[in-house]
Amino acid sequence: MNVTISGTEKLSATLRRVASALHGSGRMELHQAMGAEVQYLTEDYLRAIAAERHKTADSLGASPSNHLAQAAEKVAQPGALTADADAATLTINHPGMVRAFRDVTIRPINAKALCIPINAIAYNRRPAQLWDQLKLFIPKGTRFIAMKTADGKSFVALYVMVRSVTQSQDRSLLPSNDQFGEAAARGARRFIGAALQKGGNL
Amino acid sequence: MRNRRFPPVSVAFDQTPRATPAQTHWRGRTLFPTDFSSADIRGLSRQLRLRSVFSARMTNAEAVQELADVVDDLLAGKNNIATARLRMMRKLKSLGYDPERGFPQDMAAIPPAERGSLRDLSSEGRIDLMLSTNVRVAANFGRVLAGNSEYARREYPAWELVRLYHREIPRGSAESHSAGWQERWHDAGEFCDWEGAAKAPMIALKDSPIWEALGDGAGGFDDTLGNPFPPFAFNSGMATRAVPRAECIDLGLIEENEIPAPMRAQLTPGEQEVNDVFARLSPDLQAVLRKELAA
Repeated sequence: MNVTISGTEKLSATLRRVASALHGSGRMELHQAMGAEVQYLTEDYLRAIAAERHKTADSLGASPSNHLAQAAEKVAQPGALTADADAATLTINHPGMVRAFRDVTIRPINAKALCIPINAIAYNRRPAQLWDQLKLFIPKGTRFIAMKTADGKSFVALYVMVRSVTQSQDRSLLPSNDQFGEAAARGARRFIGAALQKGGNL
Repeated sequence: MRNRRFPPVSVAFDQTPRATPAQTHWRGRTLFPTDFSSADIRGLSRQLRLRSVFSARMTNAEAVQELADVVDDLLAGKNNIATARLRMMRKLKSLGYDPERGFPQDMAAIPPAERGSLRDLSSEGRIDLMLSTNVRVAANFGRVLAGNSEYARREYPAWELVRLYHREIPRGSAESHSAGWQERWHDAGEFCDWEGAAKAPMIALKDSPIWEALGDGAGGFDDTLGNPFPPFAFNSGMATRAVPRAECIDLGLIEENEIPAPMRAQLTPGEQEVNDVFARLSPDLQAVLRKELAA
């Protein structure tokens, strides 16, 4: 998933005038700086929500999968960010982040159904991993994958099988557009300020 | 594909696949099947370790290749850890791996491992450790490179050691019976005389030797990975946060006008352009811009 930043709407009129007059190398380096600030913002944002968002794990009483923490480290890499004269682009190669910008419908690949964990034992584990170990089975007439209780008289459902799952868009997985814009403006300001300082004009 | 519901601002999303340097770095590594233990591997040079794909006692080249492929997919976001783990389990099973006997070709040369333990290559704990460690090392290696750009060193001159991953029993907790990161930080700081580092919070300049000392286990810690970037130790959930310039000045790590090395002596082409544009502004506008940037 890629986040592309361009434009200078959040800059002051004076800074926008300088930024607009840049072309080629100047514009590319400007976008590099803008993109770098967007990258830092996104990393900090994902780190913050990683610490507090364990909804699925908490509801099952399971250990968190640290899914968002992994995304935070991925987004912090250098070539997660690319820049040219047109824009800066931040690439986030991580499952689930697409949900930040649209509804996501998940369908099984090479299988008849999705297996949704409904028990802590199953969380963050595929059924195939546990099948032999826990002697999993599908109770007749149900859509569960289960294991027998200790007395063998009943079962505990670990997964429910569904044909598809639709997750509605969750824009809060990433910073808001305003936050992106402010971070980009901060980068532009710093780049221009540092350039003028080095050039002896400040 | 762009989401039309977004207002017409300067932010857009798409799903065009792009490779990152972490993936490029990972793909450049050489397979290293080995009968070395963790302690043996720790004795290898850092450069060799960073250029190789390996896991302690993983002697089978096909298994190491699968590890390389699975980590590549994780870096690309094609898989989650549950699917990646299952792939490794299936591969090890297909190769005839058994924790008590090793791989068929090992012929009892590898010490037996207790089933389900971290020495058991097919255990969930061991596989998760292999996958998460390799993904994190690749990601953070790239991050260090990013953090050394001229812009990054000027605007974010330091790192802070912070917790990123949840742990049931973190180091330093009563149940862990182990030293915590505050203690490790202190030992590493004492080792390098706190050069470029604060005692609290755990913040140090990017070129402070404390990062290398932390990765090398200063203070006698033998669970470290030997890298000056996260993860610093096996199964560690600690990471680093880029620290803005203002915070570094407040902590006394740098002076207000200090320019971090190495800096280019000459203006980049883009910086030259900025100065050329500035020169063409009216004196009034130049004054406005100076005031604005000084604020």
